[in-house]
Amino acid sequence: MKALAFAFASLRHRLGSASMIALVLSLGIIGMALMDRAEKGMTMQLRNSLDGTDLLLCAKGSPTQSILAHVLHVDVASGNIPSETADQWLKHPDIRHVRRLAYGDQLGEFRILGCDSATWLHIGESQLTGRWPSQSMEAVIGSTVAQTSKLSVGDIFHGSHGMVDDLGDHAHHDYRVVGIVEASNPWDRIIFTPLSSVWDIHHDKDHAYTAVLASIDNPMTRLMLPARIQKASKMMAISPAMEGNRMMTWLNRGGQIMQIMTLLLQLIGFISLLLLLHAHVREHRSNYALMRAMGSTWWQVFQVVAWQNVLIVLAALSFTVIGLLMAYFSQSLWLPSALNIPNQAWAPSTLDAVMAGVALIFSGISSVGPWLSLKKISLHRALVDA
Amino acid sequence: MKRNESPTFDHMDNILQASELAVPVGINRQLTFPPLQLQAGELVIMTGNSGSGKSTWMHALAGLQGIASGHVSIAKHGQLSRTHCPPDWRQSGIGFIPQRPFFWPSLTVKGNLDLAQWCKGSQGDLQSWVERMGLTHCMHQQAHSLSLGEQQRLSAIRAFSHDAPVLLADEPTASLDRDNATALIESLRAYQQVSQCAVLLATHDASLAAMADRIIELPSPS
Repeated sequence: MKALAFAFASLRHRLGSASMIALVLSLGIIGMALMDRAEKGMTMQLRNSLDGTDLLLCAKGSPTQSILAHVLHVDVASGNIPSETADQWLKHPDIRHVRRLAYGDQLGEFRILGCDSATWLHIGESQLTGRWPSQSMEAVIGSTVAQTSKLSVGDIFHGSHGMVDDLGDHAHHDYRVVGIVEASNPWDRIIFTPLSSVWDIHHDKDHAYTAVLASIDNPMTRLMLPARIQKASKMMAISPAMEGNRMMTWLNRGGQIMQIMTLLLQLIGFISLLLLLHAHVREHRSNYALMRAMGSTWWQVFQVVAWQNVLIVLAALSFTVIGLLMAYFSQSLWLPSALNIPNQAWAPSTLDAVMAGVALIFSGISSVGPWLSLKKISLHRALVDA
Repeated sequence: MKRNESPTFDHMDNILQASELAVPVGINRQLTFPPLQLQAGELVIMTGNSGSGKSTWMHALAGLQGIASGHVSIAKHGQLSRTHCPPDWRQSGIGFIPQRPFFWPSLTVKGNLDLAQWCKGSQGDLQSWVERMGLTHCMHQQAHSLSLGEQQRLSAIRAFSHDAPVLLADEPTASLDRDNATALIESLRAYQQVSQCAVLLATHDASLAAMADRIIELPSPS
């Protein structure tokens, strides 16, 4: 451990440059770790949201936008669909768990979702304070909505048109909060109200749906029905699972590009580490010559050189942990709430261990070059120059 | 010449024996030094003008400088030939005090002594020498913050830590005032009496000649 102490003393002597290298190295590792977590978070969110959803009926438009709008609730809908036509198709014997949605209003940044009870039964693990709506203009708000808008059970609010905030509001139509639900993303950002609330406010006598989600029991029907509906009606019928997979493929490709960029950043960090150590060794060759003059073996010199590298990498890993903790606690500040990364995705992963391992192995390997260059120096010259 | 072969000595009291050494000093140029024998407890002073090669010879004898021809032998520590230095040569064969003291950056006085002992692989007690040479009060100070006299004394203690049979001192008093120079040489003498090591001391200081058992004068380079 003496070698470690001497390496530490040597690093303390050039704290600024060593910290800078550790910082550059940690930025690369943080980038990789964040990309991994964002990708995992998106996958988890998409899987949770798509679970049990084999069919999406909505107005014709982009399939990706439809998924974002009706499954993840982060985009605007492309229009409405006639309820009569939709209900006809929903009578198919293989169709289960139908969830009808109608929207058009919001409170601030949060969507007011007209839906039937099947929707709130589908939101997974949740904790409800109060009760679910039983009549028009009653609402249950997600916990994030309650936190942001400071609404509680019994409060009154009114929504505004569309997914943007400045298209006028429905001041004469008051919603009453009857419950607050704690659930995972995106449901914690949703205001649940019966379909009738939306139809009443918009005087929609046709009782149009914005979208319908359902599960399909039979795998063959799951494969064939969307195409049949698409062909025979003016609605768009898609399989969210398939579209989701396509989206994930694109996300992964984007993620891979980002990973390459962060890998490059890491590489720059490693090269800087190498150059720093070379420069340090050149600058302080008299110290190593002194060690040799005092009787050290080349192995002892290598230990001191290698420990300096290991310490820099350990500092970089510490910076990485601090950076990731900061990112975790501040994600609500820099990520739209809809894209917040779920807690499970923040847990340490195999990739983290691999990155830390690679960094530590590299620190050892990168010590060999400077050490070999030391072996070539003239001890006599180094001592005289000192 | 074989590496690390057992040396044979001209005189049984010889601790160090060097044949005529040729040391390369630049392209197609080399310095040649006279044969040398050092005996236990002997203080040999080496003088010579600047550029005569005192430091070069010292470094060659210590195995810090490659040699073109000749050989150096240390009793019980094998033989140095050309560029090869036996593994235990510097570990325990030679103690070295450089001309200008320099230390591992950011290390305290204690840290630098620890480093010296770690390099040598010993755990010997240096406290008595630290006290004797008046450095007890600055054990936890940065070595670089000491005065030049204190630094040179620390450099000497570091060389003592080797407990080596041969101590090479390369103009250790060159940058010191009279009092500090005298204190250092007295400490060297005291250490020599205890350890019975052979000391080769390079100096320009004529007043030190009186202390020497023997004086070697290197000729000026031609």
